[in-house]
Amino acid sequence: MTATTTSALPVNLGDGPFAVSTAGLVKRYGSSTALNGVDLQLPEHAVYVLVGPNGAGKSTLLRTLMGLVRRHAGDVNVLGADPGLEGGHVRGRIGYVPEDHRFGYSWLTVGQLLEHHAVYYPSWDPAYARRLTEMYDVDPDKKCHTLSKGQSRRVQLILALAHRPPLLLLDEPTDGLDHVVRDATLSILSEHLADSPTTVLISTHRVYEVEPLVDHVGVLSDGRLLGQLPRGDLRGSLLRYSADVPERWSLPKEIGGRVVNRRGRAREIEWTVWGDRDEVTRGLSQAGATVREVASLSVDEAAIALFSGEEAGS
Amino acid sequence: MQIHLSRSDERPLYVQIMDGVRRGLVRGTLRPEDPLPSVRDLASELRVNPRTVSQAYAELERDGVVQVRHGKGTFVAPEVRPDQRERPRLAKQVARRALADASRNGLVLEELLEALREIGERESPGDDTKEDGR
Amino acid sequence: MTDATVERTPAFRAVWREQLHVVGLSIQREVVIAAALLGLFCLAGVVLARFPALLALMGEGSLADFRLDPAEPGLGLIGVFAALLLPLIVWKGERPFGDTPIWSLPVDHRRHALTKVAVGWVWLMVILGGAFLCVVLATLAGGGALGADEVRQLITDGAAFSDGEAGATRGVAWTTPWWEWVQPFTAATAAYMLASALLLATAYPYRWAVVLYVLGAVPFLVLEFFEIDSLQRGVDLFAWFIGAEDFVRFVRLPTGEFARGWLSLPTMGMWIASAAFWISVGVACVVAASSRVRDH
Repeated sequence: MTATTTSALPVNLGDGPFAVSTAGLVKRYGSSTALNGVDLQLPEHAVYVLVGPNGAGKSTLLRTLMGLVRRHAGDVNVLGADPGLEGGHVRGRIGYVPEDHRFGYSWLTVGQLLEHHAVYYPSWDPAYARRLTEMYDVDPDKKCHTLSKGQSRRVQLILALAHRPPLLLLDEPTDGLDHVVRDATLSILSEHLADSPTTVLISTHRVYEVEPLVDHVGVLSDGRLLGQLPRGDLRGSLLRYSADVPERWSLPKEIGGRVVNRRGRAREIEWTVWGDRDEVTRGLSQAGATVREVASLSVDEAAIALFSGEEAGS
Repeated sequence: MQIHLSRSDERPLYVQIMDGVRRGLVRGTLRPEDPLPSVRDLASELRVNPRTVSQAYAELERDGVVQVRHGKGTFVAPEVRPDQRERPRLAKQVARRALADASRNGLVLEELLEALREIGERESPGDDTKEDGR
Repeated sequence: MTDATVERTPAFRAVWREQLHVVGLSIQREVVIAAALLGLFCLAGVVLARFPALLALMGEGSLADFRLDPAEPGLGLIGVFAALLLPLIVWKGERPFGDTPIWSLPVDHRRHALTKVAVGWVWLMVILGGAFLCVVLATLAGGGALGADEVRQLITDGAAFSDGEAGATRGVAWTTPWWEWVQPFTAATAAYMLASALLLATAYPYRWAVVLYVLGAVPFLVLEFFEIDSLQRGVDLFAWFIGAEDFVRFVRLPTGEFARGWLSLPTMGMWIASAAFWISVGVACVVAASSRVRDH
């Protein structure tokens, strides 16, 4: 496990217990590296959101956990087993919604597809599957290849949830769903969490929707984790400081925290800083800045600050 | 009991839920011995992690505001007196928000107090159509 | 519920049964169409046999002495052809490569691929058996008989004999042995295995099929220019095995007439050797190819 963090934010969640953990995970596609030494830590029963730009490696990471992709280096532990060695065993404990909304068996009806999965997952709950089918307003007699993108997504969600797996891996779960169905999905997930002890990993661009469910955040960029920490820590320690500063003022080296991003014109500046709120406020004030506001960030805002900060090299 | 969660609110979600319960007590829509929604139901309605609701209920129980009765659910504590604690507490919260807003706009406490007095005496709640803004 | 006590992966028998069901569904449409065509064909045969007047109209001879000979070139070949195409239908929509949902299922990848191939084979046997039964029943309904029962003229001049050459023959009594009925099933099995292996081994089965077909023509080309007895024998055996060759040649008898002569008569040893060889090769290829889809 890599000990040094060149990232602004912490990436180590401690000792566990972890439902999923990877150590130095590397995956290459030809000459490009999709995962460049990832140490993912997914605490048991956590709802973990993985954010990152396109091409960051999020889907590749999820596929590696499912045993669908061969890794080049590193250890992977999913619910106590290595998906590369015990693929079937591991996949039986996972509810997976892939990024792709297409199915195989497109000539089956939805009902037949559900029955097919019921055979493969002995823990399938038929009553729950029926209830989800009703809630999602899915017609079991419709052939799979006639389903729209949104309908396919809904069926994929039913397939993932109905066997009540201990781990959910959701890759853009709300992609293709309209507002109403998206909202219903959040409610369904919430109830699912209340009914079954589940660990959840959601990979998504649209953090805004799932944020109230989330208690851990992982930021993935260019195959590396820029940060991995509880939502509460992120909220409490990655803050946006708005301050008025005098003419030709410059930020001192030490302000009690690590500056992730900076924005603003001559006399009104905003910094996104990782550090203790009081310390940083004091540091800025002592340096001559008049701190007007200290605001916590949504996960989206935090991610954007981190990515643009990365690009700017700050 | 209506609880609305605001994404742009500074407070953590569980605190917003707790404050929602307190608001109900202060306004009188929640009374001693009233049942609160189950963790599952409230979480589903608010689209939050059930643990968030559990945390809120646990904190409220620690504060003596609610009682968790195993097997039956969560109820407002019978001895709760909103006037003694909840009203001043809520008032302080509103004040804190107003002060933060003032600071962001570069105003000082005296200016804020003056404005509050002037507008508080003139306008009624919900009437925000005056020209000089809030 | 504690996870340790909950079974999360399916029993093999359940998977087997479910794959039988699902593969059956995926081949359903094609099989129904083929069955309908076969049914029509058989019906036409029965009608023509029962009503010779119609046949006379068509200018054909009589079907009165029709005997169903399973070694007739063409019959076995149809089975082989169907067997080559079947894997495409079995794996319809579930390409063995890429992120197809079949690999997200809670079963070991390699074992699941092999299970699917095996299930496809079972269906192949059922389909061929059904087709055979249909033809047998049609034969009987038309008043014909099963199996050859004749005197075959064995050419005594050796194996290298071309059509139309002069030669001498010797009569040998022949009835269709039991294994000639089984022969088409073994040929189809071998063909199915090889085609399945191709589908599992590469993401571009069509390209490789063309390549292999071209490569397969090489021995035939070679024999056009060179006379290599062992190669000729091998090619003949292969052609016989897939049902494309029956060793019949036209002989110019000393009397000046032309008669049907046999270069050699098939033996059970030929069948066992060919079947064992080609089926082993096929199964070995499938097992080897399945390692491409194994868990990573």
